[in-house]
Amino acid sequence: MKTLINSILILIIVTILCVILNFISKIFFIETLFEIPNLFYQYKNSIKLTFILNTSVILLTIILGFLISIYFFVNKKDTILKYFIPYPHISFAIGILFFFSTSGLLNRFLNFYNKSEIPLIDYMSNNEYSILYIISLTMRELPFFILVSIMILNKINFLFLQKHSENLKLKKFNFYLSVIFPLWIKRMLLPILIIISFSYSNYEYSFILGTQFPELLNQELVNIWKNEFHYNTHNYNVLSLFITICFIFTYLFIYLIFQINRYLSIHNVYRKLNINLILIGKYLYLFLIFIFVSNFIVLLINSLSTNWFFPNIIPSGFTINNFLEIFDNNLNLIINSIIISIFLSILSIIIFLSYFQLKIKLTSNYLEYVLFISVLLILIIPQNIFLINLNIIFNYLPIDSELFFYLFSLIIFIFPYTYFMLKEKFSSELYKSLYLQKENLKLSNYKFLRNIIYPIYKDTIIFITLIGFSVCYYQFLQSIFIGSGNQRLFNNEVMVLFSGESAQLSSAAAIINLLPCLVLFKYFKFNNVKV
Amino acid sequence: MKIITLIIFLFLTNNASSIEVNFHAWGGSNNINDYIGNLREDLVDYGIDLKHTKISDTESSVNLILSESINKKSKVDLIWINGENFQKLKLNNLLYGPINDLNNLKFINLEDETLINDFGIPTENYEIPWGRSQFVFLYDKELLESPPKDIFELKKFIIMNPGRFTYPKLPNFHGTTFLKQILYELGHYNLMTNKFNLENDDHKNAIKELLNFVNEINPYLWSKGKRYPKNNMEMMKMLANREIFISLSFNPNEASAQIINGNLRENTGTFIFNNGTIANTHYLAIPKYSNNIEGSLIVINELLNPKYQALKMNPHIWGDPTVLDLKKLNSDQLSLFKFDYQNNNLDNNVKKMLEPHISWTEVIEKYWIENFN
Repeated sequence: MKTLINSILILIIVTILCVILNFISKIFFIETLFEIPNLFYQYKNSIKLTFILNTSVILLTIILGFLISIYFFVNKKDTILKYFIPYPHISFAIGILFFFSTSGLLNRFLNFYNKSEIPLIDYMSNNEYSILYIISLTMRELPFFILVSIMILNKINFLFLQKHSENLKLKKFNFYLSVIFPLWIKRMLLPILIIISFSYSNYEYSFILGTQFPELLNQELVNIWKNEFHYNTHNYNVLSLFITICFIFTYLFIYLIFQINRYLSIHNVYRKLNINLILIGKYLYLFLIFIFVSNFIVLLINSLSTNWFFPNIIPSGFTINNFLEIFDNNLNLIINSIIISIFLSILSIIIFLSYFQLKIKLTSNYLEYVLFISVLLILIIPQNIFLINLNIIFNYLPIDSELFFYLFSLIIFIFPYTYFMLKEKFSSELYKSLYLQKENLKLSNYKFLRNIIYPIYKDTIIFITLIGFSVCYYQFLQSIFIGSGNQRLFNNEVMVLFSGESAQLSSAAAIINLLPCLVLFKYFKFNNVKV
Repeated sequence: MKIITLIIFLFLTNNASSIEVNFHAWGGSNNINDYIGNLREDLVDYGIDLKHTKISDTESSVNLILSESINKKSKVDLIWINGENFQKLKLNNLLYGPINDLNNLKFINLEDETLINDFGIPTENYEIPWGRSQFVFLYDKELLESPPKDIFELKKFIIMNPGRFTYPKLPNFHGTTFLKQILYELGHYNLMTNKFNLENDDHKNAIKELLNFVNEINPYLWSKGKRYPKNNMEMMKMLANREIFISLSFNPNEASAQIINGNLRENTGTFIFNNGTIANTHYLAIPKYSNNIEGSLIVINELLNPKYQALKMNPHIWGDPTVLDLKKLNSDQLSLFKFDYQNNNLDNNVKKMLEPHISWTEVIEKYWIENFN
């Protein structure tokens, strides 16, 4: 019950914050209220689908995430999974489309039986409750979720609990479902809220898989912003309200499901069941690998082909010209994106290192509370709502630099990751004593950082830089909301190229887009992550 | 710290420029991006840094100009525009002009009605013609031996081949134009030159007839008319993979340009209805509050240069028909306009129909969204 109250409180804070931000941005609240019934009717279908699809995605992510995590946790292997974490959403969605769509690779394989020159049109991706959306978004959320989940499992005294459950003659299935799962889910509150927020702010899947199903609320919100916002603020407000309400209902629905599970566990309903969850986790993990690897392969083949028409399994010709063309046209943008991402990632670390130095001198904890709530809200508020409100506030500030606001809107999404990951190390007694030594020795901040902090916390700092880099490198909504389309990263370019006619060029761009982070994550050690 | 300073320096120098002209133009086609990229290199000699802001729809850029006009500013220096977007900016007095002093305007026939009227609105040189368009259908010759000659034959094709035809979701302009074309084919061409009037029974009946027609074909469309592609580029990919058999375009040379780039099959052909199809022009305009009006004028002048108009018409580069009056060119300039056309395109002499009055666009979009969205 306490968890439920806490989470509802968080969500109420989110809603209040949205409303306050809206008021700041000159909302005509009365007009907004009148618009609610009309817009509800207009977006009825989008609201229904947004709720059903996103709730399915989150429910599946939690269940699959748990099963894969326990398989992964028991086997303790540092594997290919680490490369899936920085896999960009846009590249992934393009790959999913070219694999699963009506003329995609899967349907070409299925066509072996049909032997037709024309693809079948009654195919799964045309389903209104698109299975394609659910598969793609679930699979994309899973690697991050599993990463956090393993950290949580590391904190559970697994061996102790296992020993006791053996004494109680609990079957393995009951041990995982009735003992480990409740402990795990209780600690997963924040990651679950984060993935709900991710799902409710995703625009790229609706945009890229767009013809496969009707527009969801997130896409409608962006459309309103782009096309009508300057005349029609109340439509935007009502839509953000619908998204927030769906967000809350999704969370409550998920909570209800797990309360039912808890009730069933307590009343021994599962006692007779004996399913090998580790084995299921293993097969799900293999399926996850299959989705990501096939995604990469389909993008690679497409990008290396001259053309690749249905029903050919192999393209008619191969070329590297698509890559050369992308590099030729976008090298400056790629370099800019890398420099911006490195710069902001390091700047974010410097800002928070300075904060943790300041914190040692502070006697009160108020700043810490404010900071904690702020970074939490950045994580939880759906990104599109957050950015629109941020833009409105920026418009009232007397600074005439779009680039400054753009960079600020990027770094603000690196802050939560930097804060949470640095907090563990830099709130410790060790750091405090190091800092006091620095004061005694009168070392400059630079020397302290280079000679003391960096050697000791090297792994943590590199890991945070990697995460910060990939978070920044794959942002794209800022360009729409804050950068007026002028300021952009290469990720935006991939999206624009996708709206063009060449599947080959957009695939080449998607491959180039995922390379920087994949290269960096080669040095990432999965089992070393402890937060 | 030194490294960070170096990164900032590199970043700033990388973004340093001379006179920056921020050109908002659709960025989904690599051919077009390359074309603008080549122009950018040539403009360096004029001290101009042409920045191509690759947009996915013009309406958002127009809204940006509108919202910034409150502060008398514009981040957009030059925009690729026509139709209702032009009307919106012109009505709000947000365009620089009239532009009469460009050297290369002498190559354009400024008495040509199709160039100086944009969807029935006089351009009055507040926008300068850049390229011509004609609404055409692309089709797979292997799957469709004789293409439909009018809307009734197209309807027959749609019913006989369920799921193999669609059109972009309105308000996409290809989708809207397809519906306007249906109205023309249903015999309302003359009626639509006048402003739409809700009190006029003929006008109301025309819309009613259109909705009935769309209702009849709707269950036989791709995805049973429940979903529509976002734009004609999505349809192009679907045509290439035979998910659909007919696609739409506003470029009569689209087929050859796309075949050369490997995006369409070699047996792709182009057709229009026997009565002709809607033709229009796209333009370049400068927002009134642009900081770089002089630079933007130089860019427009370059884009009207026969060299750049010929490159634009070349199917290996873009394949868009020119706005220049070829009679006004000398023999050297004229020789630039000779291309090896493939038989996938239309003749240049096919019948062209003028755009209806712009008020019809809004009405068609409104009724379609109410009934079919």
